[in-house]
Amino acid sequence: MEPNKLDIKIKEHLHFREIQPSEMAWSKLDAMLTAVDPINRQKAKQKPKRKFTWMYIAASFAGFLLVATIYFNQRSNGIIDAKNKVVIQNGGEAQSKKENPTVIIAKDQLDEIIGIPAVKKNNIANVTAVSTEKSIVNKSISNQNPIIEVSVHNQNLEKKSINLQSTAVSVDELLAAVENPSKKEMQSQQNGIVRVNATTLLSEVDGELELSFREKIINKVSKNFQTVKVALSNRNLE
Amino acid sequence: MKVIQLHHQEKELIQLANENNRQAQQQIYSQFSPKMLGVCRQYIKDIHQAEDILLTAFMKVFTNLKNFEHNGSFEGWVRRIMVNECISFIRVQKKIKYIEDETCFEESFNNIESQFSMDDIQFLIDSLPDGYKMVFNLYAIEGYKHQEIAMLLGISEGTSKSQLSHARKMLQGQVNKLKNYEYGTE
Repeated sequence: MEPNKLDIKIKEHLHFREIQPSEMAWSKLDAMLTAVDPINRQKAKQKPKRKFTWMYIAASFAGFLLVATIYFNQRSNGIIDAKNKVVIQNGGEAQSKKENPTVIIAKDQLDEIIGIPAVKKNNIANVTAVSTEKSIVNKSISNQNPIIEVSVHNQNLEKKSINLQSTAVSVDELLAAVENPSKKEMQSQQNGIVRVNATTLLSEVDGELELSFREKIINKVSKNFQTVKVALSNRNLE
Repeated sequence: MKVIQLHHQEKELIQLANENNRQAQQQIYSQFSPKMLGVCRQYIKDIHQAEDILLTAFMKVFTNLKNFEHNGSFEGWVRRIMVNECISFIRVQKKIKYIEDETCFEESFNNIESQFSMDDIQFLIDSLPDGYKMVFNLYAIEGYKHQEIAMLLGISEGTSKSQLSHARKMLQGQVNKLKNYEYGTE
């Protein structure tokens, strides 16, 4: 089958024919080429990785901050309360400053602490309680030679193991003991062997404080919940 | 000397385009796109579809530039890609059924005397069924052999011949019609 005149004629016409594409055609092709470009592909692959690393860093930082905040919050609530701190000081005698311990105790326990016969070897101790709302109370606890054995350690660990009921009981007992000292105690005081475990007292106080912290949070949450509830009901009414 | 210089320039341009140089790619596109759109239009009736195929084919050209071995002409290589793209488009879009008859008409259609415009010729080709049109374009315009056409379209060599024969016959009929219309006999 050889090419005939018709074939040749058509070929002549069509082989060199030119049709101008539309103006948008190149921009379309350019966009297609950009999408296929290996460099752009690499960039597109790299970008999400970078995002993820920053997200990890940010998340870890936020987590660290959260943990730190919770930890320090617990500490501050558990041990030192700026409003309620009680400082036991010496009765103004410069000589005994070094030897007399300063104990920070919760405000609620102020009365009990004051009532406790603080005892110390070879020193006359005056216990002064300071509160923000109340005036400074100086009370001479004992003219005898009491001994204080205060050791504050591992309060956080002990907090959990303390039973609140027993705390209340022991505080009452202590109050009773101070107000109506028994004969035995009187005798022992006279002998200078009255011992009070300050650690237990402190941990009990800590336990109560922890409870109050929880209560605070629960109260806050319930308060917020109530606020939202009221707001919603108001909106619905409107 | 000028031909050698041009060839050298074209080689550099291809090299740059291969390195994703957008300016070089645009230059190649501007140089070949009008002619290649003409090729696509031979196969595809709708000009917008033809343009879409042109762009897809150019994408293939630019992504496969590394495979071009500078043995033949670059234009021929690009043209081949265009033709292949058109054929695959037609094969995907329209499931063409080739009639498996191997009858060939050994008529010679050499009684063409009148001058036809480009539009007339395009009209003649557009009036052909897709199967005839593809074989006719490949054989008469692109210069493929029947064996190559058979391989390309997945048909037998005889079918390719018969398709060409039918296409010619149909074209002749259309030419006669046009002639009659021209002379006012119809």
